[in-house]
This record gives sequence, C-alpha cells and structure tokens, in this order.
Amino acid sequence: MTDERDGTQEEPEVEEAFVRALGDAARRLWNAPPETPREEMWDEIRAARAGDVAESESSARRFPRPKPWWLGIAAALVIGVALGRVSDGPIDPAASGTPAVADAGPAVSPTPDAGVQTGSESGPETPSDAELLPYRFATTELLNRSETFLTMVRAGGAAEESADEVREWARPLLTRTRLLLGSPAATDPELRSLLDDLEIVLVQIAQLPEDDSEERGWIDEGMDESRLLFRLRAASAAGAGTVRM
Amino acid sequence: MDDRTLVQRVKAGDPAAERALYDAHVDRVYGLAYRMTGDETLARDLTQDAFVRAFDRIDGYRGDAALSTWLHTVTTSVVLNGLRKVRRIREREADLDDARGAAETKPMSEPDLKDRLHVAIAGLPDGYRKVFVMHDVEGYTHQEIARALGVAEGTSKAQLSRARAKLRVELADYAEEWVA
Repeated sequence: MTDERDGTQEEPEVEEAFVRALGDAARRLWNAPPETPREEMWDEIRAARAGDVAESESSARRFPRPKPWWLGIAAALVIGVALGRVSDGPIDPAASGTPAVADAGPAVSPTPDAGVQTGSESGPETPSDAELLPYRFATTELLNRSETFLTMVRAGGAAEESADEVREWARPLLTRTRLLLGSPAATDPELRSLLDDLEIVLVQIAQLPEDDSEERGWIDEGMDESRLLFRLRAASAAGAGTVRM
Repeated sequence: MDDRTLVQRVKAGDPAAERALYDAHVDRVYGLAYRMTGDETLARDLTQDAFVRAFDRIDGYRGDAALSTWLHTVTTSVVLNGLRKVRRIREREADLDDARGAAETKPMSEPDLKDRLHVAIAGLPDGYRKVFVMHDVEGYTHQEIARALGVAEGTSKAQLSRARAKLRVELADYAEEWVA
C-alpha cells in the first residue's frame, strides 16, 4: 500500500493482503446493498421534477416552507395606504422615501395600474407594477443582504463565528427567501430560479453542524455550480427598479 | 452517446437522455447510500434527492470535469450531506454498540465477523468511515472522494490510512488470519 500510514508499518504485501481481505469482508458483510430499485426511484424522481418542486422538496422535509398567509394579512393591513397613494397618481419610487405597499390579492384588482397608468385591471396572476413595487424593494434588500452574507461565508469571514451564530444569521434570510418564493415576485422565472438556488444554500447554512468544515466545502461547491454569488451581485447591482418580476 | 451530447440533451429536457444518465450511475449512488445508511428506504430517498438535485443543476455543468465525476460529486455530496440529518443512523449505531460485548465473546465465524465489522466500522470517526466506505468498499478514487467531501486528496489518503489502522486494531484476531 502506498497510502501514508498511521501506526505500525507492516510489510507492503502483508498490509496489502489485510486491506484486500478487509475490503472483501466489508463488501460482503457490511450493509451489502440489495438490488437497486431503479424503476421505483425513477418514478419518484420524475414525479418530483414534474411537480417543479424538486429541490425544495428535499429540504422541505426538514424545513417546511411556511405558507405565505401572513404576507397576505400584512398586505391587507396596508391596503388602504396603498390605495390612497395609488389613487392620488403614479407611484414614483425615486421620490418615495418609504416603500409603497400594495395588496397581492384580488381585493384591489380593480385599482388602476399606477406605474404605467394604463387603466387595466390587475389580478393575482398578472400583478401590476404598483402591486409588485413592495416586492421589488423586499427582493432587492434580500438579495443585497444575502450577497453580503454569502460573500462573508465564502471568504471564510464567518469561520471565526460559531456555527450557531452563522445559522442564526442564515435563518431570517431563509424565511424571507421562502416568503418571496410564495409571493408574486416568484412569477418571474429568472428570479424564481435565483431564489430557489439561494434557498438551497441558505438551508445548508441554517443546518450547519458544529464540525462544519466539510459542509462549508459543499456549500462553496454549490454556490460555484449555480454561480449564485455572481447572479446575486448582478441582480443587486440592477437595483429595485430593474429587478425583473 | 458521448458526455457532451448527453448533457446537451439532458439540458434540453430529453427524458431519454435523463434516463440514460440515471441508468449509468444509479447503482453506484444507491450503493453508497445503502452502505452508509443500512436502510433501504433512506437509501432510496437519498438517491432520489441526489438525482433530482443533479438534474436541476445540470445547467451548471461546464465540462471542466468528466460528466461522471461531476455527477458523482453532486450526488455523493447530497447523499453524505443527507446522512448528517438522520437520527436513525445514530440510533442504529447505538444498537450496535449495545451488541459489542456479545460479539466479542463468540468464537470466530462468518456471522461473528459481520457483527464485528459492523461494530468496528460504526465506531470509526465520521470522516474516517466515509473515506473507508467510499474507497475500500465502493471503489471510489481519492480524487472522487476529495471532490465529493470538499477536502484535499492528501486528507482523503490520510483518513483512509487511519481508518484502516483503527480497523486493524479492532479486528486484530481476523487480521492475523487474513494475512497468514
């Protein structure tokens, strides 16, 4: 054996015989797999992918995505403000010091589209610019914060922090990501894809074990494969007004 | 079908290409999942998750490595990562620990070796066990292990060496017989 050793050195052929016998015994006797249930697994994989919930399902078993019911309630609470602002005229994000908020539901669908003043009705399936405005703000803020956080994690800046602290930082971002995934913001396929990838990474970070060196390597790899940081930076740089919805 | 064509077809959503990719690699992924869990249902869940993740990430495959290397990196990461969350593994190890005394008092035979192997492998530190199972049992190379675990190849070799040394101590009576 050419592998470096720890402990007493044996003759190479003796060591090789031991390693071979150990491997043979382990293959035969230690958790020898049954025949691969390939058809059953394939059916499950197809079903998961067809349902367009593939990645979130694997994590949702441990972190069920919260229903965005309270988002609707929050939106309903401020609907009056939004209606007042909208009915006064076009919303100018640049002139607004605070994000305007509109309802995501059908209750305000008769409201004219304030952003473009087309007079067309907006519904839950085709939210207007005015209705999407608060989500743009929320999305941009989330992307900015996530980019900063993941850059720190990636650069090892969080390595000195305990896994507990890193998990604590990730959780609110994960919650907000999931809420946005359940909001009209996620109707845009590009943004949805970005939020999906962000969710996966945040789930991993939110579940970091105490001994997390391997886990962080996988997280880095996942970020590389999905080009997550690059996409976050691009979306953040684009800003609230140009984040596609 | 070469890797490039296969990937292009998978990216285009060709079900036949997806199935071809799955068929080519599922045994190895399932084998590792089962070895690491000893649980058929869990191994199935992990394997399914691994392939779902791989298909969803296929757009990120840039051809820097062989498709099989990339796929096994993704799938083994998912499988090994998933193991961390499974309390059943710990419960199972605890059961094996309970069985340790009985196994040590029996004369040497195949069933006893099975018990002793279970105890010895389950008793390895997590990192040692992964590398031992992947390399000596499932036949992964150190390069594949290093990529999947996100460690250097040297680390993989060192951990394997330490795992073998520890197993040699735990299975000393068998080791003498094996090398005789």
